[in-house]
Amino acid sequence: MREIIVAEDLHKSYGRIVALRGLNLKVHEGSIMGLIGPNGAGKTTTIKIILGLLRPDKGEVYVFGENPWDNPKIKREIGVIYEKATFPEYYKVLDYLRRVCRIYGEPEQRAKEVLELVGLEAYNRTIKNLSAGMLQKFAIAHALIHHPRLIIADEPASNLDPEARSKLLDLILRLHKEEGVTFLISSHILPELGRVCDSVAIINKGKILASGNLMKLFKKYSIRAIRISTDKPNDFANALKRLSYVEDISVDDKGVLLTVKEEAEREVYEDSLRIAKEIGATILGIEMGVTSLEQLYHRVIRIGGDV
Amino acid sequence: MFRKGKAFLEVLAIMLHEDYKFPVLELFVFLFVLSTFILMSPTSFQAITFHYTKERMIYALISAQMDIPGIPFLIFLILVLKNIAYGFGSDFEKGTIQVLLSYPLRRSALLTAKLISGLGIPLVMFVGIGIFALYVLFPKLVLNGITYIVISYLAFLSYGLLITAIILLLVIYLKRSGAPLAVGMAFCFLRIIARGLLDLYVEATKRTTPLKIISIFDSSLALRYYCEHTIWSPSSSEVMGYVIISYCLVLGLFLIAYYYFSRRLDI
Repeated sequence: MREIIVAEDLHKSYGRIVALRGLNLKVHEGSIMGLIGPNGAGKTTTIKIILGLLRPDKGEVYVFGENPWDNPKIKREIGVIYEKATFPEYYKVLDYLRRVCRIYGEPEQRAKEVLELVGLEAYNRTIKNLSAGMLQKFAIAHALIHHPRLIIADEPASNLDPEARSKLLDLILRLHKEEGVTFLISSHILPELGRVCDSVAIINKGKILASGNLMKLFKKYSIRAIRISTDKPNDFANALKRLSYVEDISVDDKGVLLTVKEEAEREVYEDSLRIAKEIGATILGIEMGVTSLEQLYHRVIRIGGDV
Repeated sequence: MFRKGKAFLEVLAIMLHEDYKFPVLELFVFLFVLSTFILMSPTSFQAITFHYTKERMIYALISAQMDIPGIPFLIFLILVLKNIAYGFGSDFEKGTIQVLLSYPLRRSALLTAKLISGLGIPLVMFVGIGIFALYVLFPKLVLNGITYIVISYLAFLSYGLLITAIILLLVIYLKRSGAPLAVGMAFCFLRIIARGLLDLYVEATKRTTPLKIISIFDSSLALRYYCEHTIWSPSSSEVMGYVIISYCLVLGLFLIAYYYFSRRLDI
């Protein structure tokens, strides 16, 4: 598949602070790529360079085969959702989107379509009077106006309630399936990102540590987690942490998720039963071979990318 | 269908909407018209009483509305500072500029739209109302002396445009609104103080060099001495020279702002 975004050897510093150190990234047409990394890893800098808002100190970036800094026409193909977007604040919601329709040469009824799509009904409210969640929905609607082929989203689900988040993920999947939209999504909410992404780039200290197809990365990094569903997940996790073969451990809403050395999978079963007895917990289920983006992320960050 | 020209006009409309939220423009126009007529009426009476020459009369009338600390000029400057320093600076501070840059327009087009909205509209309003007021009071003078009126307006506007260019550069460089706003106001007061001190110095020493230097930045000073023929009497071609130099300076600063915003600025 064609590469829509190609970033080669990007370097960027802000004074003494080095944000990117030779970052390479490729996003293929029709993919949903997650860009994940800790705070200050260089995600927003990467996105800003891709959007032509920042110039790299060194390296090249091509979007649809063009340099985004010199070719604003490619923005016709890109929808952007910023984490903290601020729009001209004295406009009413529908009036502003109608104007944006005219910028892109879209019919004005498209404004109402996108507002319905994101579930924002405050058509006549002034933008400055929107709540944070409503503003985020507005930003998403704004990004969809011109039927972009590529959507770049920086923390698109921030400020959204769980229901709106779930709807956003459904919308991403729908746009991807029905209109073939390519996505590059930067987010901290890994379980939700894992629901929609087919590829991922893990960034830390200005470098991509691992990137590519999610399934291949799970295989490459031997991500076969074990999920233990229990009524006392935190106590269980604390007890499991002491076992020498446990590599990563986390607690989510479904239970305890742990990665162990490959040869130790059988021992987990026996030790879990013992721990449950010791701490008086009930095991509701043990699921072997679970893959999780969170586990992959922690593993790649911990080992620094190379296996 | 997407058209670049239409996109530019729509972005310009967005900027006009934000810069002139009702009743800002209407209020400023009202104040401007009122102050222009109030200030020009006694000046015109004085000009007729003392039998001024045509050139001196035009100078006196235009300086009544344009010279700092004249109220009309202050209104113009407040509008420009509000739109360029505060408005454009806030776009950087709040992040609106990122949204505007996501539209398929060149950065230079975006800056042009901002300058038309923030500077062009007040300028057209300011000069238009000024000439209209002159025409109402002295129709024959306007019809016979239009070239001199244009040169006088150019000379008087040079310093205001210089301040605008400086605050635009500061806004783009600092990506802030507060400091450029303060610098813009400081430049206004600096001019008033510098003019006063300059008059005292020239009167005491009879040296004209400082007048010539200041006229590079503010060509209305050369125009004043051309009309008043006191300690320094520049010729009309010299006055034109100062007007041209001051506008080259203004143009140079605007070109630097365009270059920096279009080619260098990280957002």
